[in-house]
Amino acid sequence: MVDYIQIAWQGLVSGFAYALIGLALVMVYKTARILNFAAGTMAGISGFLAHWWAAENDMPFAIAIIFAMIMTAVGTYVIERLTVRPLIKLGDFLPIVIMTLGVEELLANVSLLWWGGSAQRYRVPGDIDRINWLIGDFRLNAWHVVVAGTTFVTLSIVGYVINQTELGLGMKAFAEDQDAAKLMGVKESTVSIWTWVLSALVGGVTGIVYAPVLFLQQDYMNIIFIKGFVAAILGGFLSLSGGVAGGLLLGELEAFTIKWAPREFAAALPVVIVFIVLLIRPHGLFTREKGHERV
Amino acid sequence: MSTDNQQAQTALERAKIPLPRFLKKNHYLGFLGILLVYLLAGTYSAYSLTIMSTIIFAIIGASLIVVFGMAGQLTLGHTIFVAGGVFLSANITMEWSRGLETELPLAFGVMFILGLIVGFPSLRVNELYLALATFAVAFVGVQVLFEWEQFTGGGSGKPVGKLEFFGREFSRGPTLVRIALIIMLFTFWIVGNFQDGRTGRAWNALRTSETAARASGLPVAWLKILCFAIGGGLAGLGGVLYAHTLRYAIPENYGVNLSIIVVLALIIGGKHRLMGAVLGAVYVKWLPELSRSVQEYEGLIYGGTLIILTLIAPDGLVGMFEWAAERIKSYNNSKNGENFNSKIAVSDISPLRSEYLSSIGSETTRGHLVVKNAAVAFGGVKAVDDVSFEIPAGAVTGLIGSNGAGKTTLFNAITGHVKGATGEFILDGTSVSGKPIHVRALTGIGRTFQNLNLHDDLNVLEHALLGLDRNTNYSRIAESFRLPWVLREEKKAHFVAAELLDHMDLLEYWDEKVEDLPYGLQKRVDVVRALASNPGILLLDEPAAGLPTAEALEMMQKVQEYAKHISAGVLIIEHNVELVADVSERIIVLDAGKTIADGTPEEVTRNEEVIAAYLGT
Repeated sequence: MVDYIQIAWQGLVSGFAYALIGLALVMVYKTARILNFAAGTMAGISGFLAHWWAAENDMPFAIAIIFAMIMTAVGTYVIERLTVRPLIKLGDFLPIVIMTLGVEELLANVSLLWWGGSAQRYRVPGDIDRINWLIGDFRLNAWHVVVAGTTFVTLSIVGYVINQTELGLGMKAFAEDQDAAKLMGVKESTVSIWTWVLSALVGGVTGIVYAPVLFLQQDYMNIIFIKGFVAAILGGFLSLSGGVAGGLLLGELEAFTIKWAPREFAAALPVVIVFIVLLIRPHGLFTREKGHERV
Repeated sequence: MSTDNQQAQTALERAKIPLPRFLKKNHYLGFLGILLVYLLAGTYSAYSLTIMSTIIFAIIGASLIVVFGMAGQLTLGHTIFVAGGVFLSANITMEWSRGLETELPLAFGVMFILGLIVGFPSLRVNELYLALATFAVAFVGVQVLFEWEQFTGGGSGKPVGKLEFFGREFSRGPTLVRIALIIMLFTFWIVGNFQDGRTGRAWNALRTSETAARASGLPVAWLKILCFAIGGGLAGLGGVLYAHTLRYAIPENYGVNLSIIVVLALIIGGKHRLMGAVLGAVYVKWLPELSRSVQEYEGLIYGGTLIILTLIAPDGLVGMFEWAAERIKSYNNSKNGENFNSKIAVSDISPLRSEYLSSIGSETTRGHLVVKNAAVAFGGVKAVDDVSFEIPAGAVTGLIGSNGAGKTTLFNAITGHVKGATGEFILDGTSVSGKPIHVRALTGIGRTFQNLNLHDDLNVLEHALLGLDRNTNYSRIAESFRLPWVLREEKKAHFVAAELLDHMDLLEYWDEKVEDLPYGLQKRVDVVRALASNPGILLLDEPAAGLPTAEALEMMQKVQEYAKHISAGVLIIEHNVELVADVSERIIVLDAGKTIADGTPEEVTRNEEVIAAYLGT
């Protein structure tokens, strides 16, 4: 029994990461119909920045994180303005996706040149990622508790922003109908940029709290990015809560598959899930099918 | 229709439309370039690795042109086909001790089938999703390769055997370069043939508007899957070459990075042209040769180049050259004061004319449309509420009603563009209820769109040719090898397209891209595309909206003439009641989703209910 709880908890810990990245992807997709391929690398860079300031430049941990988040916000702002914004008026979304691919290639190489390709250990204050509590046979890592806490706080903040602020209202308006929102005087460029920044911050938090869980390697967030995407597909890609639920579900599925299925299959699980979901419920597990397309 | 005998020239000749030929100028240039590298292959052995990887990248680029450049399916999982070719090659040479004669066909075949599977999600999701789904395939693909030790040797990889062809062994080096060039020639030949044929045209149409492609009767689902299969098969050939170049197959070489780089290279080079595949490969493979520091910042430079090119030249390096060439040409033309199209002998076409005109004309009048209990509901709103009518063959019928009366929805129900429509639709005895859009189109339902649904990027002639697709008879296999009857059929199609354009007064604009045309002409292009498909009944959705009345009337008369010529019926939605009354024999009036009147124009315009609901007092 404890075995199962252990696996379920492991699944939940991975699931939090998928849920957060899934949420970040859905957010931008829902409001702007854009997939940001640089999202994984951007989150990874946030993690690296925090690590760099804290471990190599001896900055207090909390300040390093705040700096990293500020840099993430500023960087995202600049990237959105310079690369994505000029393409939006074309009205075609494929060039934007290609653009984010270019940004991904650029950023991945910047971080590779800066930090090199080898794995590094991420040091957190008091080395709490090394503390393990044993509750009966159940092993609980202290940092995993921090991860869970951070996830809940982040989700609550995002929930607050979306439901209680003007930005959230604008995002919802855009998600519903871009043209109508523009006509109602919602400023597209403002909503778009803050959605990007919010999404990058969620990604950044994920990058920072998961750096001690994974190895801090140049492309360590890419795998999370892919699984975040699978989470978003599970959730139908247009539902924020669906993305979060999809992430948690994927984490559990994965944890139990690794336990029982051959390794080849466990490796292919995300693609298998993508194919099955697209085949059976392309609109996701948790949302109902949308109406018709106008011609 | 300009069938008058006194007109000496066909429309084709007058417009100087170049016809598809077996070999074009581009072919000669391509052969020459490949021949040059072939002959020089032995002289630069120090660079032979770079030359090889350039050729391989060009082949992969060409295969991506099919998937991405033409069909518009952004795939980031293309490396799995390359990896498949690589590991098949390693296994065939080592385990079976067979040579290229087995490797190449098997790599193509197996990757073709894998393409059918990978292409599947493209049916269910939009292009943004697809990019990520294929990205996931690439990401997970490499992990599966790592774990699948029997086939790939796991992380440590697998050696590749001798380079053999039917038992004859070749040394690597220059010979490998020559073999690679021959495979590249083959790949380019196939892709180039698709670009010139109906499949390429259909892919282009699919890229630029899926809805319209369906309405033209193109089998969109099959086309999407097919592009992945063909692109995958060709990339598999590149994989075989990769295996023999590196002589050792390691899974980690074929990860997400390679997938992204091949796409970047093609976009940098130019995704619509074979030359773009070559330029992209040269850019990506030769830039690092320039200096050490370039090598170090390689990825940075590619990323930066892509960002800048996407902003200033979306069609890549080739696009930039073409733009420059266009500038020079138009400058020269303005000096000469004349615009020369290429000189093509079309004398062998003229005999086709009479044969063709008779073949388009149909003896039996068509367009007998029965609509029984049609209904469409959006939520609780009944947009079309139990509408029934019957239109006799060959009739021109008007469909009028106020905004929101359900006219366009009724059209969409007939053509299959709206989900959840009930009722029965029978055209000339064939029931189309419940059939997919393109099947209905092939049965003979042609349509135009209220808000113009044209294929940007395609020219006027190509729109007409798209309409003609269903009457062009050659297989895709014949097309890929450019067999003689492909060219013959293409010539016929060009001929009919030109005559139709001439009839609709569009001939002089044949090579203009539709997005550059004024609105009135765009509307005509839409009608031409529908007419070209030789429909049994043509559904025109506000063809005259936004046009001056005189122009609208003229267009309607031309449509009517042509419809009579091909013995088709016409059903028009139009707000201009006088115009409808002028051209139609009969008018059906819809109000709030129900038929409120049905009769001759005189009867309908005098009907009290119609006046109250629509015409106003």
